[in-house]
Amino acid sequence: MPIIRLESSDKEIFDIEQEIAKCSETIRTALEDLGDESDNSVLPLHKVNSVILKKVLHWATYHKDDPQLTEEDENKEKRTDDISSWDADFLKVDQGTLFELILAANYLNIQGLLDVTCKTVANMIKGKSPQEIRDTFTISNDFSPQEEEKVRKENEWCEEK
Amino acid sequence: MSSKNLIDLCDDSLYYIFDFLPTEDRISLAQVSQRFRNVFVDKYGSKYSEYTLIAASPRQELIQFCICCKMVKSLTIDLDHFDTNKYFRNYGFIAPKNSFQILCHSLAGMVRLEHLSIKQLKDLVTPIKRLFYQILDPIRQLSDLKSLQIVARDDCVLNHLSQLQYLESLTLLVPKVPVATLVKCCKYNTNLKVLHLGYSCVQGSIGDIVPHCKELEVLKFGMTAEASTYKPLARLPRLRELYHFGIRRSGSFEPLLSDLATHSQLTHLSIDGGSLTLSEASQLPRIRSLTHLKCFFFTTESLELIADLVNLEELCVWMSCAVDVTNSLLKIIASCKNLKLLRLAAGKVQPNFFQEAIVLIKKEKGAETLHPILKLEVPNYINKQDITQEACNNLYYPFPIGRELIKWNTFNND
Repeated sequence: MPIIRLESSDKEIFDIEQEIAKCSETIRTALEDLGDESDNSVLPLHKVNSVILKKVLHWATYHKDDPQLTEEDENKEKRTDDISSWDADFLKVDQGTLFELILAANYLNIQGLLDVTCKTVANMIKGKSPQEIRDTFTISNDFSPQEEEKVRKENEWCEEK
Repeated sequence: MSSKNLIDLCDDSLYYIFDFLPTEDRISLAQVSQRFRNVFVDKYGSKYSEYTLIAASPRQELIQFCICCKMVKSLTIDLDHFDTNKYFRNYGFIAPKNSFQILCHSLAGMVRLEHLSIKQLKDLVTPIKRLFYQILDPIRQLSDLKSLQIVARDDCVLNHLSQLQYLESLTLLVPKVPVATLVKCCKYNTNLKVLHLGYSCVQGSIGDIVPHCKELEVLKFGMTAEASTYKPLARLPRLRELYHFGIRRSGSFEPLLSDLATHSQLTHLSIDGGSLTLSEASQLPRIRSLTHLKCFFFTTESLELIADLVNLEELCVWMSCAVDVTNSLLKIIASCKNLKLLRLAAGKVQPNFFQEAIVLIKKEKGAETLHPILKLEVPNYINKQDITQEACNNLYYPFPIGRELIKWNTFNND
């Protein structure tokens, strides 16, 4: 079975079956460009470190037999309560890792992983007030007092006072 | 080991997260910080570039509209949204005031606003005081705002129109505007090109605006007044299109038309209501620049004068008496070679009018020459017929018979 060698940003080499690596659009395109020379050549991934790449490959290995997303799937209503229990366990990580996974999924263009990680973040946001969201994700409120006033006001549309 | 934060994600990923959220949570996220607000506006702002605020606009939509206010290019406000009765049912008395303040606050931030339309189409009961002032005040700094329309059933105070200075098109369909307000408005909006005033709404002599309307190209208005009231309008230096609608005194346009003829720059003239007297009609052939004309005639003698307007492209005629105008119209068709539309909204023609017209065009232009299609619209049993090259070459003149109602539009582009 053909192997591709991936190099993480911190110079660690991962040998992985090409079939698994191809769940990443980015890698698949690179492999096509390399053609016959793809065997044993090293593909550097500057934006993914070894810890995250290991996790990504772990996810890809488990999901290697997943059916391709059809256009119909992409158009259907966005649900967030359909995360599989394996994925839910896989994503029991600290927030920093979760965001690194999103950045990696985006960079490597792995639709399935991007889906499930973004859904996880969406679930962390749902039902929270802006302040609760700030607290959850340690985000500072950078609105000026005037902007803050505008935000407060826009929430009062049609509200009884 | 990793210190990545939600705000470190790229825009694409944040768009994606927004996609997975219901509206209420999207709004909350947009209110967390500048970054999320900007991403929200980038993603959803285009939905609000043309927005109409109606009585039933839902709260969540309005909040999103406010967040995206800098993306709004065209806004229509139905004042029925601020009616007390609507609120009383749902929220209690104070809410219209509150909502109105939020709207006015957002208006100031609509930096890309180009067109604003304010409409009061139903009776309005509202606790809001100085309503038009409150809307006009925040928009005076908006330099992209070129077009303003105000439609109101009740009297409204429009003194603050003169605070605006970037308008190119102004429509006031309101019961009353003191001419002094209008003059001030024209004075400050030096680029005003289009002015549309409701029937009889100007309180005073409309001619007072003339010295301040150096760029005015299109004027639509209607009023019953002395001939001397209309006359100064001929001095508008750039006037191209003049539309008068509604009742007016017989013969009152003669001095205006006479003066318009001396510049010969007018291309569109519509006098919709009040048949032209012979002395008024006699002035028309002198306005040689006319390409579009719509008016009412009482006699064939007046109508036939139009044949001298050889540049005419569209002619709409209403005969207010029941004489046969077949020959007069044929005379016009023969002489106005650029005519593309001839519409008789009321009047009598003989059944063979179309055949005669075709024969005429064949004779005039020759079967080989390509000429513009002439649309003929007449009342009664044959309403519409395009004389095309094909019809000209066809021996049997097959006419489609239709009973479509003729719309008394000004011109084709209405």
